[in-house]
Amino acid sequence: MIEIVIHGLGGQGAVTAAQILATAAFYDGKYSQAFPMFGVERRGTPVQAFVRISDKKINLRSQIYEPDYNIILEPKLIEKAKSGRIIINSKEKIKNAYCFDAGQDFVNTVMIVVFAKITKLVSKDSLLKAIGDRFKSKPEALKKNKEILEKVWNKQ
Amino acid sequence: MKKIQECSKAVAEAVKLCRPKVIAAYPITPQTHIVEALADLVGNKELDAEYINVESEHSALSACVGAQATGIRTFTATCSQGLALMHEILFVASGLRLPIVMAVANRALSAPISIWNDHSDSIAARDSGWIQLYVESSQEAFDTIIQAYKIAEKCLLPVMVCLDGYILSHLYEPIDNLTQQEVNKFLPEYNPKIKLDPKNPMTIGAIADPNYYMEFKKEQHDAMLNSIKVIEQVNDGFKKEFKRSYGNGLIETYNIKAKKLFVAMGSVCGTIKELVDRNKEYGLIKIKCFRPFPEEELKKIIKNKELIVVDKDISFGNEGALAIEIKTISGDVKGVIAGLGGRDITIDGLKKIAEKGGWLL
Repeated sequence: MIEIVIHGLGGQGAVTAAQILATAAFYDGKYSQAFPMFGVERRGTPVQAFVRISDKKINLRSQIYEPDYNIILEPKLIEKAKSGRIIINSKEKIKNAYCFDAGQDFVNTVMIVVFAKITKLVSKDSLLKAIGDRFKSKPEALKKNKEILEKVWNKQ
Repeated sequence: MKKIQECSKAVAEAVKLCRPKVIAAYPITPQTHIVEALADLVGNKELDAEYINVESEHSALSACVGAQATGIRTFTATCSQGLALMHEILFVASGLRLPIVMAVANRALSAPISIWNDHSDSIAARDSGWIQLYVESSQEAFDTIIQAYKIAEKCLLPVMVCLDGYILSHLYEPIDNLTQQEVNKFLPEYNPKIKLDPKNPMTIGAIADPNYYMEFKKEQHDAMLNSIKVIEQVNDGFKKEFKRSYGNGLIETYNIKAKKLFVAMGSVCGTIKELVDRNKEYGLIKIKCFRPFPEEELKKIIKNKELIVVDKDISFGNEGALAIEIKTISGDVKGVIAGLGGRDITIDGLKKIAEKGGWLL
């Protein structure tokens, strides 16, 4: 079982990113779950979202404390990652972390595409399908997210 | 068809498949996405129902009571302070023998203010004459809603489907959906013998003086006891039809050969199953049906076992509600209070507390 924690600031879409990842893993034929760190979310405050991916049915319901991967949407949240590999949105290079400058728009989508590309834990096709599900009622956002997927995937 | 979605949305879809004619809900905190999704389904005409936005949970259940009495299916959902505010009407619904189904996305009670999960809300409604079914997963929540209508209508008793707030209500995981045709076959049209009808006026729930009241209550109690068989039958029927079941519908066991058995309700049973997978010294008895209490079924499997009863509630001055019940049928019981107000229950925490019992702080 692979455990992932996504760290972001309220409004950056950490929860949406977790749901898209879990959906993509599901389309890959795996078992998956996604859930937010339960709390009163406010724009701009640190938030966490959790993802589990497994070949077997997932019964575990507790939060994730020792993840295999941390996906960090906001550079200053690096201190939140206590164990596991780090994939971070950062212009500057950080030791022992995979850094990618995600820019300003749809940082969450950019970073899960980076995650998918380097870990190969979810396929590009499934990610595309999951993004399609998520934004099916928002054509503008869908178009933008699909563009990001292609651009970031090819850049890696 | 398998798909992945939020548990609250899955519950809403299960409700839709059961074809309620009235949904009444208070739309503000502590409400969940369940009624939000149902409002969408009614709004875009996927579900032909009257959706009543009421001013309180007290009114939500009151609206369901009135509507159900006219011979139609109804649904509502709430939790926490909302369920507390409904308390008075819970007894009216069960006393009138109205088979209303309600989803309770379990959350803690104030004060201090907590929006997080535990079982204090539904446990406080334990003696209200509602069947209480606690679920472990999105799939079980979906399936249990459909079963709940069948159980309720066969027994003329209201049913609460209790799913852990946040832990389940906000969880994305895959579920196997059912088609309208499949559910129609399993759950036919609701057509009660007795209903309010302007063409044939009558009074229901009129005063019962001391010469009558007790007989009504005895009938209600007997109906609860008899519902044990019905819950088993509905679980069996569902298994036959859809190849899915949850133990015998009342309790489910996991590695029952173990000497040390956890006894618990709701989503924590999933975490306990993972613990059991890692350490076969332990097993699990999941209590799905808390009311009526499946005492006879439990007695058969707890002989010579060490029981660790995990409660997400506390009866102040005594113990957790489940531990109190289990102690009436077994001498070897350690009570554990865990997960109050959303405190996360981990495998390590469970292992630690299993040896001595008490509060998992």
